[in-house]
Amino acid sequence: MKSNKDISDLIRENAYKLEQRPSKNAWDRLENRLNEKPAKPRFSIRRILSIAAAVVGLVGFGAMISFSFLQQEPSMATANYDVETIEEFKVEEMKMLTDEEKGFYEVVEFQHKYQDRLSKPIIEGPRKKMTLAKKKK
Amino acid sequence: MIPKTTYVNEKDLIQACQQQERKAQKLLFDRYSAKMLGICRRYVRNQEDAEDVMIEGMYKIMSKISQYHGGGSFEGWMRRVMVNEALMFLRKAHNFKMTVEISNIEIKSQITVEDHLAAEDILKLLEKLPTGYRTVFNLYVVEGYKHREIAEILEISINTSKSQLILAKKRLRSLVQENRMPGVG
Repeated sequence: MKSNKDISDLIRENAYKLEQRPSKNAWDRLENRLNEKPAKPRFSIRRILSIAAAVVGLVGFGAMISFSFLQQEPSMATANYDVETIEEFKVEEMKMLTDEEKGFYEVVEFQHKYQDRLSKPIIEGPRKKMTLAKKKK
Repeated sequence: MIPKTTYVNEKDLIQACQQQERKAQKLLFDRYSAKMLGICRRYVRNQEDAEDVMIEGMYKIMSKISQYHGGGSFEGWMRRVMVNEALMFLRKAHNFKMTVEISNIEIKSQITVEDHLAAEDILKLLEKLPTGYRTVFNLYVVEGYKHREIAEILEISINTSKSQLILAKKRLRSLVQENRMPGVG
């Protein structure tokens, strides 16, 4: 029967007719596929745990090595922090110097201590006061 | 447990397949493989590729049958798995994003034709459509998806989906006229 119909409707209504027998070995292929062992998931819990354990082990090993290294060289470890030891060392050093050397040492130390002050002039007092003094001249 | 050789109804068959009984799986294959291959052929142009897709789809159905809880039609669930498998296959070779958008033009796709189209005619027509047109046409017209859903599935814009459908209908109309298919007035 002929009628004025939309081609989409016709295909929709008749699509169910589209059946095709698969080839003879199709079932065998599917059966082989079903017999295959399922592929292990890429990130199984066991694998994640083993990776985590390895990371923890490596970090622990690294920490142990660095700890033993620090224990072997305590002077290096404490050099920056033990101020009292440094002061004692300085006093002992000073005792060994002659009077002339001590004087030179003190001058150098003074220069180091007040280096900032020497390079930057000290400006004291409010600005107004300084201006008034100039006007009086 | 001794496997049954006959299954009274579909529920029995599904339960046996959930137990991974090979005989039940074979019966399910015999019952539905032709229909499922028909679905694959609507999407995949090449016969051998379509059969590969069908076998992979049947494998997924049988290995994930425990996920079917009897909420809707079992055949409907199988069809969805099969369509997904066909789309996965197409995505490997075809870039749906490359399809061109056109403005929304109304195209008359009404033709005078026999009320009943033969299965071969449907296949001939669909085979001649480009992959993008054919996929959107199948998803919208036969499977009943909305443009919004198609856009999501194929990772394209809604407008692309709409324009692909319009172009598919236009092409089908001209194909019917060119091939002087039976019943065309």
